[in-house]
Amino acid sequence: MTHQQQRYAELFAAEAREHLAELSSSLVELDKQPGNRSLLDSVFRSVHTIKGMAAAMGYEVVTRLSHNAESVLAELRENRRQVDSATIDLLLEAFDQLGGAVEATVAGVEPPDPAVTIERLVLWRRAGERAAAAAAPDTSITAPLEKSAPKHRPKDPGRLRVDVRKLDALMNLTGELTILRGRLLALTADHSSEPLQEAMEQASRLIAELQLQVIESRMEPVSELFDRFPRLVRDAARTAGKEVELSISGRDLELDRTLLNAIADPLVHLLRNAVDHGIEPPAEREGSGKPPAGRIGLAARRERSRVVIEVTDDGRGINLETVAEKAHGAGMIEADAKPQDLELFRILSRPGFSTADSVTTLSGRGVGLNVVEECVKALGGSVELTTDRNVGTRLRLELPATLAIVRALIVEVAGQVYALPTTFTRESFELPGPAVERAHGREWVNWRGSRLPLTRLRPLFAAGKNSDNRDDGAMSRDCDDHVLRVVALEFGATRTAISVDKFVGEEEVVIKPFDLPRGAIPAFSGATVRPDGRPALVIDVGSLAQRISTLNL
Amino acid sequence: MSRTVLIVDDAIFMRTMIADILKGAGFEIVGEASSGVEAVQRYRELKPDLVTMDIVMPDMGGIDAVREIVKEDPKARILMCSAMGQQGLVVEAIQAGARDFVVKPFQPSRVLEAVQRLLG
Repeated sequence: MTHQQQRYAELFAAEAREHLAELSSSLVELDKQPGNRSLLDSVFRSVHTIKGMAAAMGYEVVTRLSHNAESVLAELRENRRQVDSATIDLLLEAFDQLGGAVEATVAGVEPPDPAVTIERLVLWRRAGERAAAAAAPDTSITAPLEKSAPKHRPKDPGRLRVDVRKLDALMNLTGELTILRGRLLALTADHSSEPLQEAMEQASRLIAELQLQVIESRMEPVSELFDRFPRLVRDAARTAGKEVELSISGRDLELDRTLLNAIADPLVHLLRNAVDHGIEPPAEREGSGKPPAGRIGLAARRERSRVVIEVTDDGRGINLETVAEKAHGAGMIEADAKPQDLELFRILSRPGFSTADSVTTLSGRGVGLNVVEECVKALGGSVELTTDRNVGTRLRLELPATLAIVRALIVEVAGQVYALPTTFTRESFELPGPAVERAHGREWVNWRGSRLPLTRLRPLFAAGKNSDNRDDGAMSRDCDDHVLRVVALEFGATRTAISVDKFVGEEEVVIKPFDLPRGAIPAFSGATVRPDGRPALVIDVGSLAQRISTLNL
Repeated sequence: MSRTVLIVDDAIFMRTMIADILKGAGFEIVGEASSGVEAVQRYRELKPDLVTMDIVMPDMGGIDAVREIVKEDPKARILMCSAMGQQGLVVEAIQAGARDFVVKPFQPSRVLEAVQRLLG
């Protein structure tokens, strides 16, 4: 492929995907408003554009599929046929095929055979011709007075498509610049030269502004993701024989592209759960005085520097007693413990925990929530579940708006400085050495009424070093065992404690991803440079917790 | 002096492809537009020697845009870019004042031929 062909192929992929995403959400909307003319027009235009581009690229399967779908849409536009649910289903099937064909073609593999779908599209048109021949066409057309089609994101000529790797490189450079700024500030702090101070201050402001702009250039509206969900919910509801209305708010909120990709799967899980296990069948709903169609809400909003995404349903809620019973049966909680909502989530999200055999028919919910929690935690976020019997369930995901900057506890271990993201730290405290217990072949500390396994980081982190490390001697002098500096960590369902040599403070750090040298301990997610110019490794609490459990248990 | 062109299409993909063909032949792309409304505005500002015009677009289709542009500048030289199966629309566009048309997928030679003829 020549460079130019490569560039066309990339443009095609990006633009076709954009249209496909819009297609499925517009179509679901059209199902609700079959007379909405501008929605129909917008669907037609998208298919038409895909066809034109595919033909120009010589992508035969994509061209044929979109051409046949376009013919069906043309008949609808010319009012020769009315939009009905069967037609919507047919078009959804065609767009699925189309999406598959686009992805396959872009990936350079043979697309799946579209013959069956094309045959159906052709049959649909023949059926129309026969009907038209048999009877005079119905000229009464439903007045299209509904609200207009979803707003096209303006594709103004001022918008550029940029390879995300270039943005990553830019982000990386800006990160280094920010770090350098910290260093310069520290170096010049003692100088009394006023012009120098002024210049430094100005440079500092500009760098901060630059960083903000670069971070923003990586942001995309959540609608890129959310607009896929009406279709998903519709399909899930059909399969489950339920009626569901999905309302979405906060589509314009912007999130880092990486985060947006990462939360797609968790949200799919949560929405499916809400349809399958939250919303009751129509008859049951009417029995308890609710409207037959269940309501699922998906909302995104900003709270301070965090982004909150909520999935709510007005279904049957979760039976707390059943959960508590099961949890007790599985030895997860004491017999008399009353799990509150917060803990409830923790219990539900234990791998393998499910109330499938109970009256609440929450089958599969356990595994799903486990995946959701792990994913959200790995992003530095948190999940919270609240539920009300017969009123509904609310899942609240709190996420950072960007992954590039985190708040971290700065600690020292074996003469090196490390950053510990505070997302996972529960508390740091000092403990007299003798307070450490020994049992089951390991050390334990008491923290707020529970016993946490203790792992001393010094031997762990020093293990990879040469035995002649000069820090070793200094360490044993500096950090006596009379006082232990402990950090209580929580990662998913894992609670553990680590001890460090020294607490340095808490700072916002700019994380730069890095490749670990071979043989290194896989417990770091990146590096940052401290204001004094010394590098610090950012501890990846997830893999550290995992490593600790394999080391000790 | 090289001839100036305004490219109108709602797909960036298509605009890029047309621009590449024309640039390769020494034309100067002075502007792009992604809807009919925008095309009319840009034409007014830029007074290009030539316009390539897509037919199916949001916010006023290509044929209406041709009518608007020709109303303001009867000498406007507009080349319609249509997809397969739009013969009827092409005829309408020509009646509205477009000078010629090419059919997607483009043969670069066919596009250049049409453009040269239009400007010749």
